[in-house]
Amino acid sequence: MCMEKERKALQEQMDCVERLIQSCAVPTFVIDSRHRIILWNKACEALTGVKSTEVIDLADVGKIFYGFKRPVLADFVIDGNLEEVQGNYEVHSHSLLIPDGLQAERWYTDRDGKERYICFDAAPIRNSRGETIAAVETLQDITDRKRAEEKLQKVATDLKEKNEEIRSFAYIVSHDLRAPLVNLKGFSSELNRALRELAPLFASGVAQLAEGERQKMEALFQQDVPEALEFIDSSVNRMDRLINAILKLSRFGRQELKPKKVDTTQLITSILKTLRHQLEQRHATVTIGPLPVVTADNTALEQILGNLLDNAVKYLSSGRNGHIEITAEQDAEITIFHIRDNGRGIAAADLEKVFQIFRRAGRQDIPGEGMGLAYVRTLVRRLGGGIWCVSEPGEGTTFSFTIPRVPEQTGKCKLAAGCENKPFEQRE
Amino acid sequence: MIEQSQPILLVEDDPGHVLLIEKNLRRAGVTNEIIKLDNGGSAVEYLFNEGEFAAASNPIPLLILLDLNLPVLSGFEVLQRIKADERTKRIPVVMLTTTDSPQEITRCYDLGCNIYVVKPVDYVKFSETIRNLGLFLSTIKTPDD
Repeated sequence: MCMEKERKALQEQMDCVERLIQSCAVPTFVIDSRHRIILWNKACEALTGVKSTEVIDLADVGKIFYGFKRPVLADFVIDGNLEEVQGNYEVHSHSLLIPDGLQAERWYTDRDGKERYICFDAAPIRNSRGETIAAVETLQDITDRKRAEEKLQKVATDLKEKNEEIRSFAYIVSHDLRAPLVNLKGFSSELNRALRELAPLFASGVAQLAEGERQKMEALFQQDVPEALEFIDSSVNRMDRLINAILKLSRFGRQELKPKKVDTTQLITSILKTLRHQLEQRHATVTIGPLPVVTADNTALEQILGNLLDNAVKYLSSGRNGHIEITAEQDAEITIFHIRDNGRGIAAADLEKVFQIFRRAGRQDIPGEGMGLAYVRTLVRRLGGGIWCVSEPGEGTTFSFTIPRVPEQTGKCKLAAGCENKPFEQRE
Repeated sequence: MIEQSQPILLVEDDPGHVLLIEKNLRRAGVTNEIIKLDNGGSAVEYLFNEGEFAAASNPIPLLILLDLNLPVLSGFEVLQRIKADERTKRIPVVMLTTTDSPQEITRCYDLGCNIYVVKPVDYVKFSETIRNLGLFLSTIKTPDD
């Protein structure tokens, strides 16, 4: 009587477990130690199109799924044969959650011919003596996630290629454009040289001409030709400066970063020393807030802060005493630096323009190539941060930039190593 | 004094640069024959009597002026061949280029180039460099002396 009661209680427990698995929305099946299916839930029926009644007690789950004989993850768990998993699944690993569990992923074609990407999880079920008496396997359709991942991967690859293209483009432009400039400059100098040598001959020759002819020849020889040569020369020089600026920008984008501890108070103090003369001229004072020690590439940070401080000083208003304030704030992820001045300010429409190459905003009374902030933005991005500015024309400007607390794993840019050689190796 | 019988090999694909370099060498008093080739492949064939120069027995150049950015074989590849061969490795090589990238300069010196000259757009500097090279040439002794 007592035995009967116990048996009944056990049966009830078993039924309870079965109902639990049956009502689970994740496709799940259980096989016993002889690989026979003992449980096949509704969600599994929906996924495979195979009824539970058709498969209970059958010992070949692989055939049901794939249409040919092959082991599934639960079979490997039963046999403890983990080495063979590799050949059967594209992605596989030990389960992170369940001891001795396995996880794998692969494409699976369902009965309607639809391709699904499935994540399989299998785990052993052990008795009180630790013997594996069954294995449970769940199947999750992660096709959407997989497709999204693939799409993202493709976008990332495309972006990387585009980036590389732009970098090598800047490099090629800078180098291959310089070669013709050497000629322009060289041969205009040759012409100047020829003119100098011709001058005495010209003088004696032209003396023999009639007045009108002579004046015409002199105007050509002494004015028109030298003037044309001068324009060629100054344009070549300008072109050369612009090309060098692009080259410098592309180098900044590829520069090798060596992150180390940098005391930014010290760094800024030493930059300000180089600007002392300009600061005195402008009767400018500088306030340095408490600044942190950060981990970043020292050279890049020096170039960023150097450019921003140089700008702050250059564009102070002449009408009032200048004041520049450098502050910083930190959270767990980033450090933000602010460089605030009471200078002439930047019009709202020009705020984005100031970061573009060769673009300069406001009155053009201070010499410059319009590259400083383009360099700064490239360097800030290289360090993994961002830069922006807030300004009130006539009141002042605040440039703010962030750098990550922990430097990005950049090291030497792999793309860069490739670009270096391209202009040469691409030639036919 | 300079060995007049030995030619100077100029490997440069830009005809304008060839002319400018030649003019300045002549102005500096260099009278040696200047052999002009416009690609790296021909330079290697000339130096090792291969290909179109197979039948010739070309004299060993006094000096090689080598552009970095060349068709067929780049200046790097030509330099590598020159420095790897017993017959040519002692010829002084001057690399000429528009590139002042530190990596490329280092690479050239690593491969054994003797001087690296950046072709400046500043023509005065450029002609001075070439003329100095010419003056330098007209006073050095050849390795055989």
